[in-house]
Amino acid sequence: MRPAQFNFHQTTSLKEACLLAKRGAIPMAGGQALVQDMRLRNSAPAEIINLRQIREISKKISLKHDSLTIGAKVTVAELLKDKTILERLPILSEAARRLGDVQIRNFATVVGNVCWSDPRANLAVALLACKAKITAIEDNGTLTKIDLEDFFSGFRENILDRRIATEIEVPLSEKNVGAYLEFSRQPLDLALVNIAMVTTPSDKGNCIAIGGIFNRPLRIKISKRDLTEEIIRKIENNNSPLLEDQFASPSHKIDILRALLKKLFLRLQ
Amino acid sequence: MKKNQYQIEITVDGQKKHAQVEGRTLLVDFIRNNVGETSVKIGCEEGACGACTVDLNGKTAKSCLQLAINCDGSEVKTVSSLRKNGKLSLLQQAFIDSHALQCGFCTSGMLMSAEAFLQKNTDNDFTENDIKEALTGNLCRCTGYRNIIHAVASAAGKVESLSALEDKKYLTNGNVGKAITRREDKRLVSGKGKFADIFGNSTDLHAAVARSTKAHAKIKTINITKAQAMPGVTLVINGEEAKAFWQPISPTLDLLDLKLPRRYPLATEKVVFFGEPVALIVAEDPYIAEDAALAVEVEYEELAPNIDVFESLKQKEKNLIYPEWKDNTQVDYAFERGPVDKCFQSADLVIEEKINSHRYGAMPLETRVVRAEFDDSDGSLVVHSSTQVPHQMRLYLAQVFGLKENRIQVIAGDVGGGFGAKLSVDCEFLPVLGSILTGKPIKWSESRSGWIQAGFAARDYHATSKAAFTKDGKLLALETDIVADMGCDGAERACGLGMPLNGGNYATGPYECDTYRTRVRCVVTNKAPYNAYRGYGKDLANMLVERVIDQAADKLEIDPVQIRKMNLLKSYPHQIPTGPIIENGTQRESLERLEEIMDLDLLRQRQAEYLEKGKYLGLSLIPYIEPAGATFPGSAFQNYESVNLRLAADGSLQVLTGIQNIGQGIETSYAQVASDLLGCKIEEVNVSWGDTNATPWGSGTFSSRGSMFAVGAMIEAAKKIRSRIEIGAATLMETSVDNISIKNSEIKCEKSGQSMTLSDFAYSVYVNPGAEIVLDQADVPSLEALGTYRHPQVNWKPDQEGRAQFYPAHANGAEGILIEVDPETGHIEVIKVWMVADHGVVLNPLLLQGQIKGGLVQQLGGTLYEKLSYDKNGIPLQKTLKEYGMPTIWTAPEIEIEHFETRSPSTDIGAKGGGEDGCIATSTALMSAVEDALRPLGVKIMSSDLSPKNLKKIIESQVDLRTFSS
Repeated sequence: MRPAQFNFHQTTSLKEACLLAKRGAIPMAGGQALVQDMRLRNSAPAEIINLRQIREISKKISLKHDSLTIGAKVTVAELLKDKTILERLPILSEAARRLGDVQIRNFATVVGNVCWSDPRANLAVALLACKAKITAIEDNGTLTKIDLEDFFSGFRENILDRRIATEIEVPLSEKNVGAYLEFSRQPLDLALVNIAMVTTPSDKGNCIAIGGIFNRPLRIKISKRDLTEEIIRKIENNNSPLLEDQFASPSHKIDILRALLKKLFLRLQ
Repeated sequence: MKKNQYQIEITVDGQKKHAQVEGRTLLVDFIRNNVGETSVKIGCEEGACGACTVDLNGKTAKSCLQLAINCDGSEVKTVSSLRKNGKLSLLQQAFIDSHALQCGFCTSGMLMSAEAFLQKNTDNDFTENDIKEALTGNLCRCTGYRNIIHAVASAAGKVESLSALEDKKYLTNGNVGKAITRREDKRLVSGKGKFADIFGNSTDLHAAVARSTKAHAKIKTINITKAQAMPGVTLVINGEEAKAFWQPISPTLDLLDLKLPRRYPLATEKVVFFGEPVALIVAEDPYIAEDAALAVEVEYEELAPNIDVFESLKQKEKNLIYPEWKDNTQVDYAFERGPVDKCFQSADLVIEEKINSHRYGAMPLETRVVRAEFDDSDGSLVVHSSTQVPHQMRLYLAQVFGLKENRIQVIAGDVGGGFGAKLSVDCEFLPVLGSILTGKPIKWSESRSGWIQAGFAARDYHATSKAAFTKDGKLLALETDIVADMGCDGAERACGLGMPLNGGNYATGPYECDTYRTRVRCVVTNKAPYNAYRGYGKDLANMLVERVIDQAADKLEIDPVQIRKMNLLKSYPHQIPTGPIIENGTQRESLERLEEIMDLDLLRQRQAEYLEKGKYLGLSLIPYIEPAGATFPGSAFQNYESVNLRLAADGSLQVLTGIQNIGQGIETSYAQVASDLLGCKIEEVNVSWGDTNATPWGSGTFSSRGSMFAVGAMIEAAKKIRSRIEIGAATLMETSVDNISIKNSEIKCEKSGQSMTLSDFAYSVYVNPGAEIVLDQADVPSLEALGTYRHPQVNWKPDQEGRAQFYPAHANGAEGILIEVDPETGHIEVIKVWMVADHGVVLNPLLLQGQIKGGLVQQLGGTLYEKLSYDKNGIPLQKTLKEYGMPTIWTAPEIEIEHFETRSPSTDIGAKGGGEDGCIATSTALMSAVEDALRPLGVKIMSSDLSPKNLKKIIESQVDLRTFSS
């Protein structure tokens, strides 16, 4: 099948894009999730804004002294090639390597993966663990930085609300240790459960982000002493709506999570 | 410019193309339709299959996920750019040399991804996993990926090509038995496959199908006003209106006392499954046709859907899918032989198990594709279609449309995979109706979601298997009771109904057991139709006996290999209780050889070591038989095949066969046989197929039959021609026919040493001095002959017990598997698979092993991931390949294959069939191996659904894992 008809706005102006977004037009950068959704006729947006030609939207990964900014035009493949990411945030490379496939990664954008807001989106989960903030811009130029913890609001839903996401900022603390793991039916398939954990030297910022169990990626704080079963208990006690899918029951997902946590602790030892 | 229309320019393979497109126009459609580069394929709509992969500005892209407008000013390269100055690239050649393609539908995209990978890794510092990562986004349904991995490594110079490696193992005099690379491959790696989607003109109209959104409902009204009013829509017609133009679907099977639904291709009065076609739309482009299909409004009165097969079986009055049937049972078959009950009463051990196989199916990478062109001036109809059975399709078209069969031409061309699912015809009638009504050529390509949700399913057996044993492990009696879920139909619009029947008929397998009872009930439900799929119930037969043997071995504390050896056939021919005669074989030898090559002791030791570390390794060894060459009374599957051979004036030989090439490589294997039979060079042979106006009537491709039926027919035709060549050459050389030999396209008089080329001889027949002189002494003055073949081991005349032989040949073998199971997550890792297989004389080891590996990975996928399921309202739960669980390159484990070659008595060549055995024992072997792995937990596996979800469910229903793991 093929997409329903839509107006395609080829603007080069961010302001115009914001105005269009405010009217309900859907921004598209890589389009790797959106186009397939439209082809399956799961969605049929009437207006689409092309972000690829807007110069004000960056296609760079830039390093400031305590953070790293990923522009909304940076593709997953570009993230994978980036030396700073590899050195400073290898957790993102791990998550990116397992996203889709070569062809998809060549065009899918990092910010797009977050904005698609699938509860299992690899980079959404990894960036959530990294306490990343996404920048949303309004037509009047107002910029809002939103912590990803507050960003996801449901299954493939977020609070962007007719704004355009321009970049993601990831804080860098010198000794962040992190790991990303996922369980899928076949390697590199859509994850059934994925987790990303970040520990900091002070333990204060230790956290784990979990995808696939709830209807949105979720982050929980953990202490260094938190053992697998304690984390599991925190997850089980969380009353966020669960993600129901045909591939694993909630209790099965908890077992998968347990297996992933064991593996993760083994790796971080 | 119209609204939503944009002017763009894209350079494709160096050619600039300017066109007006809509915002929604996909790059793949631009490349295919505007540029005419049809090597780029569409296999799905979710960017999963990768058949549409191109290079877009230096990066590989799925052109079906790119908007053409977004590629304005871009440079695109397709597979056509790989061939430079007519010469294949190293990679293309490597794909040919390692038999890395079968149907070829995925190949263009696969090559683009592999080429990009090699360009990135010129230092050759890569591993097998790197290749897998690079090709994750390209699905192949035929090869099982192993040969693709090999080809990429070979292109980089890391390993020798498979053909070179295989050729060293097999020493033969002629071409039969050689690992010859395929003659069809050059066009397929060049993106020039003759698939149905390449035919037509830019002015063709396009069809789309409006489908039912209910599983079981009365159609109250169909409102087509909106759809009809859409600009560009030519025709919208519903089932009631269409009744005037056709007859109900022509059945594929009509045997035993089975009941037929007698449905029209478009539903009338009611719908019986989600996705059943309710209206046909014809429009000027596929985008508009799809819009219009979705704009058709149907008002339904819902009926209770029959979803559970056992509930459906119980229905006698209410809720019948076809009220005239009086129940929901399509066929109820029973057979009994020997003192079954007595055996069970007196046996030392009786095992009884409920065994289930879940619903999944063929899923070829190419969906159904049709181009139909009806010419009302002379009543002729030309149909290009992706089918395994062009001749039967012509028959069905004539029956349904009341046209003269001799005015219909069906052209099948290359077929992008079949595996049984392209043996029948239902939706294909729709575009043909469109062409008849509009008088214009119509194209139709089924959407992937259309195939997944309303195409074909298979397996879905629910059985009880009961076996009686002595305390020593001797199998005394077997009883099977099978209920199979036909969906809405397994005989008329699809032909899966024979699968559970085969399961019942062959359940005693390769074992000595003459006391047997079976009952097979094929039950309809409100689901998509039930079609043939590789294995065709031989998988079920295997599961039914092997699973109870494992239980007996456990109970009796006998080694599972020993108990099998004790019961395996000891002599041939052997008639199994239901009638089939196993002509010969190596059941015992295959199992023994399998034990050797697996190095069982070492594996058992490794298993124990793993267990100490809390890891669960499992292994199994499962014998199997592969009944081949099905012939069924009351069906299109006949015990007959014909081949036409024609030696042309230049000495080239044309083989014309009604067997269809669907990737199994008949252009190559038949050329090998024909060149040996006539003594001509293989380069001089060309095999033609797939055109009902060119080839003699043939039953088509199914049931691994070609290497017996087509080969048998070729032998008959070659005998006639060869004798005429000998007579003619003797005349020209003035000698006796006994002195004539033909080899390497050269005719020699062994006595005088005189010789002439086959081409000089042929010219002398056709032109100078002419047949009247050269072939004066021959039976007919022609170098063309039709050979027909009737398999001598088929016998439809029932004996006193009503038994007959429908399957003439039985390949056999044994399959071993090594896996690791994680009981916590339900994950199964397949580490290695071993096969010892006997298909009689091997025609081409490269191709035979390609079939085995391909079938094997299909069935691994089927068992581990693939699933078609429904909610309680009968709505399918899967829409995409990813949801369905199509196996990716990561599913392909290491595979080791060995052959025995027990000559078949059926033809002089001695080959049996060999297309299905990867699909026969694989599920059973996995189930057995999982059980073996989890033996410390005491888990029994009686379901073929070994997806993480179901395995976890099985484990949890049998053990308290939390207690265990803590």
